[in-house]
Amino acid sequence: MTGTAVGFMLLSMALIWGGLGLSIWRLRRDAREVGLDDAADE
Amino acid sequence: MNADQTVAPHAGTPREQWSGQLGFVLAAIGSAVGLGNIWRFPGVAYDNGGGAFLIPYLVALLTAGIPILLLDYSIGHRFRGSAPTSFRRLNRGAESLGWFQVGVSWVIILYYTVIIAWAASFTVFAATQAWGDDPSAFFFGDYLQLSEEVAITTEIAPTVLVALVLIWVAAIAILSLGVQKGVERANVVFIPLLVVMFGAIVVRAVTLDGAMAGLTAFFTPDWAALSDPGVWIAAYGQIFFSLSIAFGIMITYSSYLRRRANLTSTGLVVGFANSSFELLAGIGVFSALGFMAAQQGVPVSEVGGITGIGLAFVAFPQILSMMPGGPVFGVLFFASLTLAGLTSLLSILQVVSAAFQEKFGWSPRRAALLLGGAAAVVSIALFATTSGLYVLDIADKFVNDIGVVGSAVLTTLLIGLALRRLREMQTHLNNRPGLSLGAWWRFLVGIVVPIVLGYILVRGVLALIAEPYGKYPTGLLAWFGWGTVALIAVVAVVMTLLPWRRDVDDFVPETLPELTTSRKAAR
Repeated sequence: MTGTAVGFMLLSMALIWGGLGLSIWRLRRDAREVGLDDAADE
Repeated sequence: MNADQTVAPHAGTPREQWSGQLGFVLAAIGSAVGLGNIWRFPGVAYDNGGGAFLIPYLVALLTAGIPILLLDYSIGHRFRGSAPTSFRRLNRGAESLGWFQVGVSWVIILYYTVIIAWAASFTVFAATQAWGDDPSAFFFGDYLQLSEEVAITTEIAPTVLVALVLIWVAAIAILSLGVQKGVERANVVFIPLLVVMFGAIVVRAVTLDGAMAGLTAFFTPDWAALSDPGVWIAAYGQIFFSLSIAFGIMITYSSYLRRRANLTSTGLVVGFANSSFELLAGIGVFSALGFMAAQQGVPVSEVGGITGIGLAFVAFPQILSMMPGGPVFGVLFFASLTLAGLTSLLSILQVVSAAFQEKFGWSPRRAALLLGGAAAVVSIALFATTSGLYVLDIADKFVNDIGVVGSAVLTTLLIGLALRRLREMQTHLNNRPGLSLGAWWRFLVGIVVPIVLGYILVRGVLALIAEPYGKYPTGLLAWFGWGTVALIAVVAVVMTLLPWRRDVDDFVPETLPELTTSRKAAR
């Protein structure tokens, strides 16, 4: 693989998979801090 | 009626809900991750700048994909119903738009099932590599028995019929169990399984000879592509079609979320999970294509069939025949396609099922049996025949390019421009845990999205008018292309005129403190 291709592969992974990781982290943090009401609605 | 009450479509039972946030997230990811992630994204990225496509792709995800996803969430969650119910509660005159989305979903269901049936058949064929030396002749000739004349036939392709019936039985059975016991449980099992199976395929693909050449071709950036407006349109189109947005799915799914559910952070997870799977598919597909190119002694750029049906049912069988362990990875690949398709199919079926449950007071089981049964009959009559591929190609083109894109443009124009309810939707999203949206969200949904998608819509319609799509006969295009879109519009109006079996208008949406305050201040 050329250096440019490797660079873009790593960049894609970092941005997209990193974005997923950050989103999951944020969702879990919200759940911890605010507390999700997982009880069913009345 | 109290705002905190949710009403069941059928009397005497509480409205269905997801068991929790995880069930919803998995179901929404299952809906978004479909056949297009595996067979469309890699080819689109490769044809539109390779590594450089990443830039317009991410811009499109953040400026259109996730914002529309959140708009869908806000509509369904605020008005607690299927697309027709939610749009009617938004504004009585808007119910037809909901039924239009149901109609689009209905048509997509008819042909989507047959592609899943092909994938299921090939899962079995892969074990023995039944396609032999010529996968193309096997798929189009032996399996589909495609008629040479491009015209409608009533002759059935028996193997397709058997697989299609089995897929319908499975889909109806899951749908009849309802949201939590059927759709959610299926996704909770299928999505992790899909990730594991597809992950195994990708790991194998990147270790094949020639894989690095394939990845080089896929990721090497063509910077000139960024100045081509067509590349940006391709990126918006890929994100838009991939995320299952603007035709009722996410409206329906979010209506089953609890009141205090986190909508915005969940939307980010679903959006990025969908793109993550697309990237994984790109790596796997181009590694495999690199392997094929190496075996044939040609550059990757000369390998044909890098997207769609040709990639899945012709190029991949060729690759599997060449690679060590082909039967095992063939079964994994086609089983992955089947699962990805099935989880998306369930979400589209739920759009139709929920709409009829709410309008006519049907139970989930009744809706699954009646609607699924009717769709199965039409689906078999049209797509299990030796001319099924022609009808599928035409219907898919027109329903996507006009129906789905038109629905998105109408939704954003209606809420943003005509009714001016974007601030209300924003406040609804912000009035619960999660990321807080600013005025930028209204700008994206109210201005950027209608302009970009409006352009894609007009360009698509003009192209279809300018020359016959795929050089198909005018009669076929009139019936299954233009006719299908017209029929969806007519049926949407007729369904709106039919009376509701329950009092849909006896509903008060959640009171939003900021809106109350601003209204009082305005007085």
